[in-house]
Amino acid sequence: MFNQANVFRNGVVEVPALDLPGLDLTQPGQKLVFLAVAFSVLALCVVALRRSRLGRRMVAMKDSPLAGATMGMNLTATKLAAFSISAAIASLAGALNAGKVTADQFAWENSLPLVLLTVVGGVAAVSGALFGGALLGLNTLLAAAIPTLSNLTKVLPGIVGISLGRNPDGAVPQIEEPFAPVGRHLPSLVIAIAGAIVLRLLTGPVLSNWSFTVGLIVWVLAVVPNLPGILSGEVPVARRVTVAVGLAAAMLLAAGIDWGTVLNATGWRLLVAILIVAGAGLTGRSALDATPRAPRESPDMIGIDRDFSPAEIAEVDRVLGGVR
Amino acid sequence: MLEVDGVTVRFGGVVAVDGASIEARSGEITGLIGPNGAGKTTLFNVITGVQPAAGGTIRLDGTDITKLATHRRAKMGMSRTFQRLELFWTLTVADNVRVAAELARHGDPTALTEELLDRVGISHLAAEPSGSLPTGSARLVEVARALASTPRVLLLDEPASGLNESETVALGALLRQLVADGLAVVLVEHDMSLVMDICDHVSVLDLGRIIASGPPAEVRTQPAVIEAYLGVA
Ligand SMILES: Nc1ncnc2c1ncn2[C@@H]1O[C@H](COP(=O)(O)OP(=O)(O)OP(=O)(O)O)[C@@H](O)[C@H]1O
Ligand SMILES: [Mg+2]
Repeated sequence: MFNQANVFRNGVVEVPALDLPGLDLTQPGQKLVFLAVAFSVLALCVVALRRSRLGRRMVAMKDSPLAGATMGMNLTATKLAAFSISAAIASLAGALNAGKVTADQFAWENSLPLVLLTVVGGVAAVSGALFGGALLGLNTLLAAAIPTLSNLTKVLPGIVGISLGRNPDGAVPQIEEPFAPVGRHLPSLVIAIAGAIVLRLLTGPVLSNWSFTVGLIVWVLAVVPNLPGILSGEVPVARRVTVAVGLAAAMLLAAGIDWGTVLNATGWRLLVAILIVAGAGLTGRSALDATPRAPRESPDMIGIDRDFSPAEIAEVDRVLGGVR
Repeated sequence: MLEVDGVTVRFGGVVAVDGASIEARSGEITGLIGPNGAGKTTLFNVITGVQPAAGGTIRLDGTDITKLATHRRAKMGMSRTFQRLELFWTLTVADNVRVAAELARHGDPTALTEELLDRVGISHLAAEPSGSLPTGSARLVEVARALASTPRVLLLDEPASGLNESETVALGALLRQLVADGLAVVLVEHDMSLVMDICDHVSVLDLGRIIASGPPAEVRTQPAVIEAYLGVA
């Protein structure tokens, strides 16, 4: 479709930048801020939509079209609404994508990683789109910074896609999970924010920008999820102290090294940054969980992973009408 | 009110429902019983338009609805629950009911949702995600959601399985109240004491055929029913 002459004459279309008073969107810095604002506004709209009557209806249709229809939902109309809204958002993004636009940017093999990484981020969450976009950007950066890896970066989205088998809801719900207890525990939340502010204040006089960045990553991803566990009394004291000391050491290491001078090639910086994010994230995930959740019993597994109870045997007998 | 006349359903070579006729009247609970695989759920699927019929007609208030789309039947006042639970798993209990109330466009959805959760006895679960409920509570959410679409005919597919004894009794009492207000109920249920207690009329389905129908006390004594359903007691 994009190859048709009336859509892309000679394969190229010039999209003029939005003409807004006081803004020059041809400047990369201003464009970045403007796009970030536009994304946030749209994200808020999507959240508002999800909480509206139509949003509830669309979620319901996704969960059980069968029940939806029997409750009086016109499935065709609801799907049409969902696709129309998606198309509207996509066309807005197209309008903001100013500059020289070529037809082969829309070739199907270019949209494949886009779709895949969005799903990896998590299509059910608004932040999933941001996460997927960040992954895509990171991949492009990595390819540009370390040319030797260019073959790897071509298949990387595909490899990341394999994670969906383990985690079909995408990454965002999993990333959010260790932070949920922090939101419910006020002292942890206060310390989390205070720590970030202290790091910021120390930057300049004591810390370099690089140390600030790395320190913040470790603080947010590794330390904060562990705060409720360390502060509340439900985990044995010895373990709490060990974890606290270990995290403090990690923080010192992260903020103490001037990463900018130690690593002077962009490629290395990127790789080390990825490793630090991954390591910190894993530390945060294995957080001291003060409120262990009871494993939920799947109804399908009754009789497979445990024996039938006498009451269930009686029920089966009764239902089968004494066949046994 | 609801008339099912000579309905047949085939799955390939299997005849799941074979010329079955039942009737549901306003102000009455009609029991539909039969052994596993008799075709009860399949009959519900045909009545609600989820499954096409190979033959027969379905009428609601005299109108032929055999070919009507599922959501149009719902708009005409038909609602059901599912034996294999079909909740909107990622929504809260209250939102499950609310979606149906909003679709029905009868009065204020918030007020209706609160009232129904209370009537069914699950107000305390309103904010829970429905995916985390035990089967019993999930069945009650199904009942509340079906009622939220303000039906005139309500089809219940084993609503009491997973409920404890006092919950079952409460459900029976609620159904009697509802039919007293003019609702027509068709109840598929394996809990015989519940069926015998609250039904005005019982039809017995076996291998897709209605083999008996009448008042509960009469039906339970018929030799064909005892043989087909209760086994040789
Ligand atoms: N989608 C399908 N494809 C093929 N066969 C089916 C299908 N659905 C049901 N059947 C068959 O139709 C028959 C009737 O099934 P149905 O589920 O209606 O029984 P039921 O009376 O509801 O039983 P239960 O008491 O176990 O719920 C069974 O033999 C079943 O195996
Ligand atoms: Mg069934």
